[in-house]
Amino acid sequence: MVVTSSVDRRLLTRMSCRSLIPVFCIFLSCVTHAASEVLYSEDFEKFDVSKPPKDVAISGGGDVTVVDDPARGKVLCIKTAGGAYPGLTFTLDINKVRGGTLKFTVAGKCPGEVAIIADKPWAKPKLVLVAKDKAGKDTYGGGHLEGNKPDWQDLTATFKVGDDIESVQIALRAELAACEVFFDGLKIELEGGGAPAAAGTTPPPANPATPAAAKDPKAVAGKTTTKPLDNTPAGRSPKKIFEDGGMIFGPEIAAALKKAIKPGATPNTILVIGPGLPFKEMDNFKPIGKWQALPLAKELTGPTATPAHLLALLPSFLGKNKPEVVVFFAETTGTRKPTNDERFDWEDLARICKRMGALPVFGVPAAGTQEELRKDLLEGVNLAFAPAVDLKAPSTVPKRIAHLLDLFDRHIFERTPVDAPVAGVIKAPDEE
Amino acid sequence: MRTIPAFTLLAFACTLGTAVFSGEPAKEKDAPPPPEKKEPPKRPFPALQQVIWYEDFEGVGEKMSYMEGAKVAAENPFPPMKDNACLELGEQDKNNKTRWVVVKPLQVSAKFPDGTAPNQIGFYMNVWLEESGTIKLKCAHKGGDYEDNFMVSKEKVWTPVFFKLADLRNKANRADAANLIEKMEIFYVPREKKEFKKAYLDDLLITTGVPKGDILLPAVQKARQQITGMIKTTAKDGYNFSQTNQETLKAALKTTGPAKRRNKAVLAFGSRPEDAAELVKGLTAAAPKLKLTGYTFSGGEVPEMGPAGGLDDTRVFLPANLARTDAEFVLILLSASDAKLPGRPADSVRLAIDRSFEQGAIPIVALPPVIPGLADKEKKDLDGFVNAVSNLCGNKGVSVIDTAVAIKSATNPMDGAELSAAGLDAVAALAAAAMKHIETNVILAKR
Repeated sequence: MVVTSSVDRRLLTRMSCRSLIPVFCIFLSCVTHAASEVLYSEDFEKFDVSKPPKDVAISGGGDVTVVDDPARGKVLCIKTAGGAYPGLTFTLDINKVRGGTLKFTVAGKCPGEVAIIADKPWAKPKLVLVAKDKAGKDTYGGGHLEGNKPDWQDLTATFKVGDDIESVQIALRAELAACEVFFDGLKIELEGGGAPAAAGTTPPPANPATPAAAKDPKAVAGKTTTKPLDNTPAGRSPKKIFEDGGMIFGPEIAAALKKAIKPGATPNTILVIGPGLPFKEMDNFKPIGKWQALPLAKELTGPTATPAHLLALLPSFLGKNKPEVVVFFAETTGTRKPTNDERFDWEDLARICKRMGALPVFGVPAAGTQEELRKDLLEGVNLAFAPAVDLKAPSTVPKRIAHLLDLFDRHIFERTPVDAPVAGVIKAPDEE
Repeated sequence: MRTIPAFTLLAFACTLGTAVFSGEPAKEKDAPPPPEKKEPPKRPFPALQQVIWYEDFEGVGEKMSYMEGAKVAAENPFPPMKDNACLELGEQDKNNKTRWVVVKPLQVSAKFPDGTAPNQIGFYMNVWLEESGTIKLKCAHKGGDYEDNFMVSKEKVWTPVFFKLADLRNKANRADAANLIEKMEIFYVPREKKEFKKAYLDDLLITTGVPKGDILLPAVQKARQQITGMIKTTAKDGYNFSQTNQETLKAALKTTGPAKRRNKAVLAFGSRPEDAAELVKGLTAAAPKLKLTGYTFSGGEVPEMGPAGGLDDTRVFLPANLARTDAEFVLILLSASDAKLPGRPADSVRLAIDRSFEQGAIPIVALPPVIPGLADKEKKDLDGFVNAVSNLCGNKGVSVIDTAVAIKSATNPMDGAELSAAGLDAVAALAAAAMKHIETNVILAKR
């Protein structure tokens, strides 16, 4: 990717043609993924700390557990009072990786403090590679997490395994510093040819349930702006932000929402509620395809349907009507002041939906309007790992929601093949 | 025509000159400062606003942080005083064989005179002296001190002693309404001054507007008994409740609760979905024994999906369950697994408490049980969670159930790290007792 980046920019500038972007992405994908092989892909959904796979070791000095994360399901949690290196260590088959290039990626977060050790500024929670050469000298690579950041951070690094390397280990660990750190979605890939591995020595994926990595260059399609973490439909979700697509969505959100799916929801039903209704452009909202909107529920719409009010009424409504998707419209006008716990209220509405098998979507007032409310809502969206739609250009909102439903069909419900042609009506709003 | 005196003109000219010289408008300089909003003084007995402070030394332990030089004698050695504890004055001056006690009234929010005329501030106390002598009261404020003496001629009987703040003086110093007394010293000087004689003190009462505290004393003692009877501690009773809880709960329900009484219903959230039914069973069984009559009990639910359980469910489904049941009480049972939730799990407890109050229900929180054999780190995390929740509940006036005390007498109360059916029954029984107590002291008292 580094090699081709300058070419990318020149070509993109010259062509200035959006329709060629997907083609170009496929080309890039061919270049970067053609020879890669996934050695490990671990999402911790079925990881048992008491029985780790044979090539995975757990180091002590702290608590290494698998916990539930509201956004990502099961994740690895390392809690330590400091003074040790607790975590997981993956030992790679040197015969297989020697001569190749390792690429390792993980998402991590460290919402609390990391106690900095004055004379050891490197002592932090890390994704770290330790390679030992024939002379016994260690070489380190990887990346570290910053403390006091509740958001998930992506750590990625590469390492060329030289011929003199005798052993390679990759670890997720806290190094000496007291902290609480979470990791998810570890992926270790080998690019390029290594020495041929002896038969039977290749470590299997730590979680056999996780599909093998993408070898299909078509894996990267559409408007993808980031490299997918895996080749599942959820992993291949396009990354979207308000400034590029008018919505918040992506592989991590898709993966989190996929875990929320429960049997019993009425397929292809969408419920639109919230204090921001009525929203003129949604009056005649008719989602395309099989999607059907439930009739507006009076008690769940209008100025009185504040988040706190919805917390009290939504669960019983969801229990009775079982929609598959719930879209919350926040107020784009009005004078309501957010409560002190507004962000938690929005977060908990998303949690209620997920707990009851519905996927939440939030309509967020445009920047510059309802600033306080918008800030709280976006914090709630962030905490809940939920998708959101920008209500900036009201006329595009129904199309954005329709587009999001199409993405749900492809990447979460998997009712539509990911690579199926996009119906003309559901073009991404910013492609129009 | 009225003549303007030269002095007035001169004063005006000076003011104007100063304003012009300083470049500021005279109007702003002369503007009177805005009146300070003074909060009403805090009184120990809301119904007895004349009482600034009262101490009968019952149930306070041997030492109090706001008193020095003396110790509490738990057993009153000299009947016929009705109560048990009194204060034994400590030795102070070897030459005069003086005994004393130092009291720091600000530490117990006793502010005086603080604007009240000194002749309206009275002190009352009962003393028992082995030998007749003098009781001296000395009050100190930032700018000085003043004192007064009271001769006690009776020996070895409880004798009332009175002082009036206006009578305290020391050379040029006298009490002033603007003073704020920071330290009170009560001395006993025996008549002979040959050896230290025993001296005891009880019913220390500071009043306003009442010259003689003995008139007020019976009412004060009654009010105190009511408060003492209301106090519950986790160590002794398994749950806590105090006058502070009472006031905070009343204030919270006054602000957010409905004007009329809610349903006599109780909502219970367990730490696991299967706990709710057992808690309801335990509450239902315990209620008649405690005369907690007319109540219905139900467990938290996820609509159409079954029982709710765990802190996450409690937090998000509490409002919907309160809307369903219109419950008056919410029992929230926590567990060690709640302490392991990502982020700050105590925040979830806070949200559950706040949401209960917002819907006019009174929350009661049962702390996680103690789990034997935890690793040091796990134990530390659990302790941290318990401390955070305890502090939170303390600030919000929410009663806390110490699960360890609740299950002490239960047979096999634990099932691994969670409570067994027997453990849940024991917690439910204690929760019912707490509800009965709160009903008596908050809900019915409010009405």
